Amino acid sequence: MNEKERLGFFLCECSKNISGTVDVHKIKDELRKLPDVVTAEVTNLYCSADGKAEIIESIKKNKLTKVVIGGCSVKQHEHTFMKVLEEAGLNPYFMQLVNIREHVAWVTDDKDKATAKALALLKAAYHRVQFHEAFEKKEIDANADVLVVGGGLSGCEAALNLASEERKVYLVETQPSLGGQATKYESSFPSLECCSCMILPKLQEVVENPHIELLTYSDVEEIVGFFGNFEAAINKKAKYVIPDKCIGCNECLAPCPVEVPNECDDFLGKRKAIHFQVTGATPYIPVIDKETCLRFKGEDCTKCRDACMFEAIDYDDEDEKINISVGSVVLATGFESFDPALIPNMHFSPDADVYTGLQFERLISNTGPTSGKLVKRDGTKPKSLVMIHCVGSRDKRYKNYCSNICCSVLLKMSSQILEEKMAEGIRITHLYRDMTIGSTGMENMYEKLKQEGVDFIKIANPNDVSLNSQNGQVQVRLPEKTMTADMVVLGTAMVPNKKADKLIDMMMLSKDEEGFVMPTHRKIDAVSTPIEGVFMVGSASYPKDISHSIIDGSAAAGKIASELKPGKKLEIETLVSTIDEEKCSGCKTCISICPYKAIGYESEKGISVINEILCRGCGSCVAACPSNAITARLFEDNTILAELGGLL
Amino acid sequence: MTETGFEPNIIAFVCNWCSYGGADIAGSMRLKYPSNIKLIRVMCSGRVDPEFIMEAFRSGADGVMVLGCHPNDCHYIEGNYKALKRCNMLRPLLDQFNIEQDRLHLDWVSASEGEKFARVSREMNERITKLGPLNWEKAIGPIRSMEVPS
Amino acid sequence: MSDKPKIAIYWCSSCGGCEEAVVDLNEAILDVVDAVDIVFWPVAMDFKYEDVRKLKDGELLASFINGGIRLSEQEEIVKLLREKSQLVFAFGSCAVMGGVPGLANMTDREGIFTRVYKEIESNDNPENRVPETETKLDGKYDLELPEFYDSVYPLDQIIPVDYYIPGCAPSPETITDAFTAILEGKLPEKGSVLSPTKSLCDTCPRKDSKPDKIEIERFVEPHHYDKLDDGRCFLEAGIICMGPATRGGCGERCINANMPCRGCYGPPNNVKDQGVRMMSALSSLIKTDEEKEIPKVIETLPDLIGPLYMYGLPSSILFRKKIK
Repeated sequence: MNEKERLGFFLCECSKNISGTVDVHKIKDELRKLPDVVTAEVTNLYCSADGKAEIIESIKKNKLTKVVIGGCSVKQHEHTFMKVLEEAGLNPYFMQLVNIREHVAWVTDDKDKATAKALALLKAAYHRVQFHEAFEKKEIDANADVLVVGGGLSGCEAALNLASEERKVYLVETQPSLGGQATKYESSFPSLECCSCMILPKLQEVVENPHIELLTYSDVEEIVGFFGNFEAAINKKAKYVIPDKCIGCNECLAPCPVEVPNECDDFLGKRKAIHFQVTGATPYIPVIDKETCLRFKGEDCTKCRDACMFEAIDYDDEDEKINISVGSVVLATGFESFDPALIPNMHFSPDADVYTGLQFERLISNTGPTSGKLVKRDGTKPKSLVMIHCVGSRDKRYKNYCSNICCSVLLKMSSQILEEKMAEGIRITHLYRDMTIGSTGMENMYEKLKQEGVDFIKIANPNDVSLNSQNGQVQVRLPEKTMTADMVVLGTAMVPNKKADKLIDMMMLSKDEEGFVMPTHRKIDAVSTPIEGVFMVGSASYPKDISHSIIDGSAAAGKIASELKPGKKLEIETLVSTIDEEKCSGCKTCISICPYKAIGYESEKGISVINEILCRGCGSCVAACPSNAITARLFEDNTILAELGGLL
Repeated sequence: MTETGFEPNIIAFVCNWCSYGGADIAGSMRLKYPSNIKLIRVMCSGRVDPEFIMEAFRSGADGVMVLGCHPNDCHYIEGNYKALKRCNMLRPLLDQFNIEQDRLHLDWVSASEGEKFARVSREMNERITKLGPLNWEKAIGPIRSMEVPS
Repeated sequence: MSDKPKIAIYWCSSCGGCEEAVVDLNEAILDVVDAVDIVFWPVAMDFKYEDVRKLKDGELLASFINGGIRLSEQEEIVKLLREKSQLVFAFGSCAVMGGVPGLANMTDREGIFTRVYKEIESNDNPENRVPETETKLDGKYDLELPEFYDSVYPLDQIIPVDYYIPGCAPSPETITDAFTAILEGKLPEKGSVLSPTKSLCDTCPRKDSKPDKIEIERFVEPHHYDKLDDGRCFLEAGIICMGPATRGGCGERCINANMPCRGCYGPPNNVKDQGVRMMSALSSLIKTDEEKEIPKVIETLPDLIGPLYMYGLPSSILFRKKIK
């Protein structure tokens, strides 16, 4: 079979840290007796320059084939000694570092027992290391371009940070314009800074960046592939408006005979079939919604085209299918509002003055359906306003988490109303559970509002509040009392954008109990997903404010920039697992359990195949395979069983 | 050392990212635990094949521990859940063979939990000492010529 | 005396199904009889042990031995046949792995005798007599019975085995293929199992509709399930099908009869313990991750050894239940 092994043992005294308890010389003598052991040596510090040189010399002189080192923790010096082996001309995997310091010398009082334990562990390694095989590093070709799905703030940030001459970014946004939910806000907390002024420069940068291919009013239909090699199919919906010709004069809007609820206002106001996402949006291009336009119902209405002085309307426009190749994908699909209709005690009629947080943002926004006038549905100014926090949040019946920003948003909206004197003499009451306002400046805002006479009533669970709308007012029933208000605003929970579900399923991302895609690690690696090369940023990943959404975008961009370099090959994990074609029957047990979706089924051969680029080498599939057809590199069955046999 | 002098043979499978680190910390803190606990490193507790555990009992182990990352903390996302499910099914199976379920112990030890590592090891040692040696080869004997033909 | 190669067929602790399997070759058995001389076949022919003892060592081309070993007589005869044969074939699950009789390794001689000879309600055994290896009959005749071992052993734990023909019973195709290979001198390397190594899923008629992800919420027994004939993978419904851990070559007779595989062809080539491998696969497919819920799912399967080790208990890693 193989040539005879020539094994060498190197036992480190570690400046008495080991040799003070473990009799390394006695062990050395014992080990020399084992078959095929050519040398067993002891030195003070093998991790020192001298120590490492000794190992290299011994390997070369004794023509060693495998090496066992008795020393400290693998976490400290495994890499050190692997490099030593490489320098000595041996494959770096032809060694085993046995921990006889942290795991023996430092935890055992009795010297005889410590010595016996160290000897047992070293003998086990002796058996194991003989089964070690040579592994080489692997590289694959990779595409450095990036697909960003979602043109909100986190997506734009990612795109801007990544786009360069050597790296193209495709930014796909389902709406006609960029900015996402942030385009709905008049002001932002804590400074009440004009939100659109704040975000406009960033959005404008995206539009003008020559290395970002901006695909608005478009959807990603399919993504297949793996890190470095994704293929995506994008449907660029027909706008029926020629962007280069349109100057954004708005003349096409008035003549349109169709009026439908405006989803860009969270259905607060109405829009025409031809519409802009929001006044002042970037890019400022209207689109014709073919679901509601009369032309697509058979009528030959040409009112918008007649009104356009720039010949920018093109009824012959068509959807365009675009196929792209990228190396990485950033999902920035954002959030939507929890639907309060899911709370039975909060049923109210559609014409009641009860609004979700996003709807109220539109109401008080200059670009909203009332041009920023704070009026009730009947046009009168409200004298009383109740804002209810935590609607749908922190409640096992609905969403069992805090949405992070709603308290701040409701305070912001109260501040805006008072600052801009939107309704003189209005009495504002907040019903809250806890005031969760962690952002800078918000404590001051809270104090100021209290001083300005805003009422803050702490209640046990705002989701138990009952609403009843009648006679143009809303009755707000608490356990101890009932209030009446002209207007009620519900600080609704933030939930992931449902429109992203199809894409998330397609990419085989897993969700947690609350419906958020699970990142690689919530604390250590929160923008990565278990699918290598796929990142999730912004509120799609977890409710967060504008600043953290943008940070997410930068974070993902940074990771992509460092892992996916233009023109460079990708180094992939060496210690992955492989399936033996001759043994695999295609039972798919492994496919069911791989958390990285690294295993696919090849129907022609009827077998399962591991994608070595996606595999991280955890070995779960190896242990589960009922045919024992999978091998984990360096942790093969025979190595572990040899080690086990050596210990018993 | 017990009255009978029985020192159990206990094998502990530790995962590279968490429990191996926990064992390291136990070492850094110089915490003491019985030396008859011997560690085998795997990358993930999900790699631990129930076959290894059976082989361990067959070959002379009196107790086996599988130590992985806490739920939700697995470096490979859900390997520890695989270990959890397998051990949950293996214990009643071992029980049917009349191997006491307590001889297989699954626990979660993070990379910083040196105290827990030492405590879990000590407790396991006490538990197995009380149960006594398993001595499987002897218990199921006599075995007739076990060699597989070449 | 003919020049045809001589073969022997012997049964140990078996049900007779393997003998029937040979007969199941139907007309093809005539080809077998044409090609070889059967010089020892207790169920069908009147040869005696003496006839075997008289043979020269290696005079038999092959012995086909079925049944598990648990009597000293069986041990004696299989050792005898080993001496007299060039090749020994472990025929059928019992000889290959211990078979269903192998489940007796959950008890021992005392347990069996107590139950069978003392406890069974319909017994008429007022003196609680049990078979003994040596008895004096009527006070004067010395009667010797084979020793009854505590455990059942697969054939290769008693004598070296050259080839394994798996199945309970081996299908006519498996048998025919094996015989053909023998007569044409085309046997693979020694120690091989004469059936494809890939597990049953490879050729299972329900494979195409098997989803990529299977999540088991509870275990269900076939007789508690009313859609056995829907053509879908049994594991989807929580029914234990040993197919993934069982080698193929049987023609999927059970699957085609809408019953899950029970593992009688034994594990694929490099699997030592069929039961524990299947257990690992099954447990890995349990849907819930909740620490408290997992045991509840496993409780829906009250007996684990039955489904997992129906044929392979004596060839498993742990070999038998420890009797306290």
